[in-house]
Amino acid sequence: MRLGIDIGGTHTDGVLIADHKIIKTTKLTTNNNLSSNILNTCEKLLRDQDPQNIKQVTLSTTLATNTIIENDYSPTGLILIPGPGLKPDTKSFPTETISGYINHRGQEMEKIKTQEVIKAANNLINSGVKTIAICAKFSTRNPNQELQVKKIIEDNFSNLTKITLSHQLSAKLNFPRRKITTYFNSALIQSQQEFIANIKSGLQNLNISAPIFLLKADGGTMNLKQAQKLPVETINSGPSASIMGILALTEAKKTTLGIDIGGTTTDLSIFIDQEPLFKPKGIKIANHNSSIRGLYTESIGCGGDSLVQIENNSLKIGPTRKGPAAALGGNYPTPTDALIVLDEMQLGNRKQSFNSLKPLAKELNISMEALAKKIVTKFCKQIKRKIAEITDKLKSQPVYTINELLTDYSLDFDQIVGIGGPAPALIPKLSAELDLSYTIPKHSKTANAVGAALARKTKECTLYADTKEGYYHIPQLGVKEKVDPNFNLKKAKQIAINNLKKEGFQQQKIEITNQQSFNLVRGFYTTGKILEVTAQIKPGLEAAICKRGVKKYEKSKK
Amino acid sequence: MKRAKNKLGLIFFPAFDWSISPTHPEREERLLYTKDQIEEEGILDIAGIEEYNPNIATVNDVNRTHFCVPSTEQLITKPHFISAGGALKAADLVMQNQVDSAFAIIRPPGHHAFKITHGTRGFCTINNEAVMVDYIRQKYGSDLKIAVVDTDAHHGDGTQDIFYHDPNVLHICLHQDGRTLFPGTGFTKHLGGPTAKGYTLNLPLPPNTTDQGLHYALDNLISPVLNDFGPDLIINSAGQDNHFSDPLTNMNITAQGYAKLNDKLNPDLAILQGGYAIETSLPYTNLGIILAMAGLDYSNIVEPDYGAEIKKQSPKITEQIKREVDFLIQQWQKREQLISKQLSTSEYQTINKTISYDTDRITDQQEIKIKLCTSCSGLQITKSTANPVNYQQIKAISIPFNSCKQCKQDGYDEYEKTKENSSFDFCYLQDKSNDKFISSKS
Repeated sequence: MRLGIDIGGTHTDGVLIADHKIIKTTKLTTNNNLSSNILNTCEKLLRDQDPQNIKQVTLSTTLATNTIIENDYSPTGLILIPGPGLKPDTKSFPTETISGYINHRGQEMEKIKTQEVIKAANNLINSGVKTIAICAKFSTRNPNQELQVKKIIEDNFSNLTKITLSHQLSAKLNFPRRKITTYFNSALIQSQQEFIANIKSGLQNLNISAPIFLLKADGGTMNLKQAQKLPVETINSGPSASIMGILALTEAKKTTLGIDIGGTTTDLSIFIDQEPLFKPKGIKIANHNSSIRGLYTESIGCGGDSLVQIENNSLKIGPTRKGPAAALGGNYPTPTDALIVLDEMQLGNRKQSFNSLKPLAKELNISMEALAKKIVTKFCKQIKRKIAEITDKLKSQPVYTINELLTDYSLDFDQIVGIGGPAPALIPKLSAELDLSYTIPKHSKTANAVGAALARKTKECTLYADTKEGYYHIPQLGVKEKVDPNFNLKKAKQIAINNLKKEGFQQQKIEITNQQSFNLVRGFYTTGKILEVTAQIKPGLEAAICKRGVKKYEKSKK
Repeated sequence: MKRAKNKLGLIFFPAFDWSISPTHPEREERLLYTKDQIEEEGILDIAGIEEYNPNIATVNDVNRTHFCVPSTEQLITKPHFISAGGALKAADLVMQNQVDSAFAIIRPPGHHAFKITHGTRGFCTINNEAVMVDYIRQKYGSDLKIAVVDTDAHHGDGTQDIFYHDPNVLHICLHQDGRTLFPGTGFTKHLGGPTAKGYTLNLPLPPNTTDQGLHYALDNLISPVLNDFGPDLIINSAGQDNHFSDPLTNMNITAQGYAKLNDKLNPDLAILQGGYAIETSLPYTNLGIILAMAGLDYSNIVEPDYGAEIKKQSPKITEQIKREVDFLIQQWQKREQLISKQLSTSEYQTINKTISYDTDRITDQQEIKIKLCTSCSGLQITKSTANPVNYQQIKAISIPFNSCKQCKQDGYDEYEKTKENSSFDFCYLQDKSNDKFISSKS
């Protein structure tokens, strides 16, 4: 039996899954104490179950996200080795820059100076910093200088322990993004460790001894040991739970557009042949670009509880939310109220919905029904516009080879999957507007918890080899080995795969997602090769859910 | 998040799957380290810097500028259409005000490709920026005044050839002295054809010229001439092989020198040309140009082998550059006089030219007849005999954008006459004023 929990802003959802079936779901109002939300949900789910039957617990938490938004993290300082080039931003966070310089080939062009490192750490400590993050330009090509700085700090400052190095978080080139990721990772370690300790003892008290996993931004999970070192990866696990939920509850075949209509926003996701799409460069953390691998999702400030008002004689929906729908005791009209007025949704007090819309109908001088229809149409149009925008953007993604440029990447959706409260009322209208068939899965209200419960472990590693320099390395795994001039892509791929196998993954799930090879030519002779290979366990489901009861509506033939 | 002062469009297309030959300087690896630098610096996350894919140029786009023999379809391959298409995309972005300026980091380069092209020379087959200039004039206004400032270390002989008779395109070309480097041309005395004398300005720089010499030319020649000319658009033909570490040249320009040049010149469009120090120069010079064009601080860019002595320039070099700049400024100031003196001589002027293709080992003998027209830039009729190729003589007739009625009529008459003439294997007519291209085979 698997237990999944998703802690959202308003609700904490729980689900128990056994033999490909959802056997129990819960929905509690989220309170301020994160651990108690989780433990209460577990308790409720297990009321008539033997806790020893639970084989795995997976949590999608808002801890990382909220800790950052509320500025509740450990005071953190950055030590940067920027080398020549663009001057780094040093104003946003406590930052010290030191000398040292690695170039694009991973060659050390300038050494670091021990005294500078000690001085930098002292400056940071004096400004109140408790933990340190280290980021060097091109450290993913050669992590030595980051490692050296860490060693110097550990040797000289025994109280600075939770140090994060940028090359351990991402193999990608992008110094500013790695810097942000490293900073927030260090910042979150303390709170993450406390949270994990609480959860561990709480679940023990409930007699649950199953392994515990946390959901990551990439839709995969990691165990608690990893989670203590990499808390930043749990950011955005809410949206990734929702995406994995859609994957679990429907057949996201061909090209599927996922639409999660929430209270404040509507979130769009994309699946191609049952695989969710990624954000190529990394997701955002509190408005900063990071290098964290995350699932592709685009938000529109337009949900079931969005405020409906009149501006310049025309309707405006969102992006503000001023509480729940009028039918549920809110003070302002919302799209949900429009659906209730049209009798397309049955919820709360219908009369209150009527009353909330009345002033708007009067101002526009149209009937109540006409107004409600207008609101729904406008809502659909807003979502449709965003969909057109993201498909345009995805189609024109930069490519770097002639072959890719000449390949027509058409992104035409084959179907929609809709989840969230207003989905049954709104998705049929949207599908008509977009001329696509649609599915609304049965357990759409607890989709996030289902997604968390069924997500599998993910991991990625990138091998970079330079045969002229005579080595390859896998920075995220701390691997560096010598290579001979005959090293090639085939060998590189096998080594990357073997290294992921050592992390506890089966070979058949490991895919090569990127492979490049360049001849190094110097003075008209080939003198070596540069190779880059990425191996990945893509996000996916550990177990399937029986899809019976899922209604699918084919689009009408025109 | 960092924000650029000027909105910059970047067309970055390294063509990682294409080379002239495996060990050729124009190979897959050329922009690899530039890509690494751009990615690691997070350039594409800076608000105001937007990356775009190239367009794919069409046969029409090429025929508007070139005569490809035997035909564009037969001679030009996809990589060239894409590289030229990168320049066209950059032009559209700027002309449609989507960005303040655009930089096309594309390969292969184009500035050695002549109006008539029989193959590849100096790594170039079609002239990206010339195709772009004519595209701009066709699409956005044939009377636009355009200045091309070519800072590649090699003389931009192809661009010169294409616009030699066109007073609406000012071509200022700085390069290492032709007596010491391919293609061996680009001397101060070549100032443009009879109808456009003064609108081609060649400044050969002595080997070992430094940032000092480059910026002397910028401040004392390029800037004042551009002020007089008042162009609607400034294009930097941004070759980066003047760099002190370039393996094919003998110049001493630094990444800072390039960045400052673009900062001061403030081009609307920059198109990458040569530059083959792919590790020690390109990542830093390209970064410098990007930051300068975007209005960002480039002062921290230092290439690995840089030392302060690189900036020192011998007084002899300084003297020579000063002399040449003085001469060119004088010619520029009396350009109207020079033109009217030429036009009064006879009906046609004939120029004979030998063009050698280093890459494809072809020699082309051309006889260019330019009409000394007082009402337009004049009809051009060129006979070209290339060797070794599997066709004989060809004729190319070009009617300019601002063509007068008479020149146009004469052009079409000449085409009809030649079509029947079996001594020409191919005859082509390019009518820029009507965006028309026709050809016949005898």
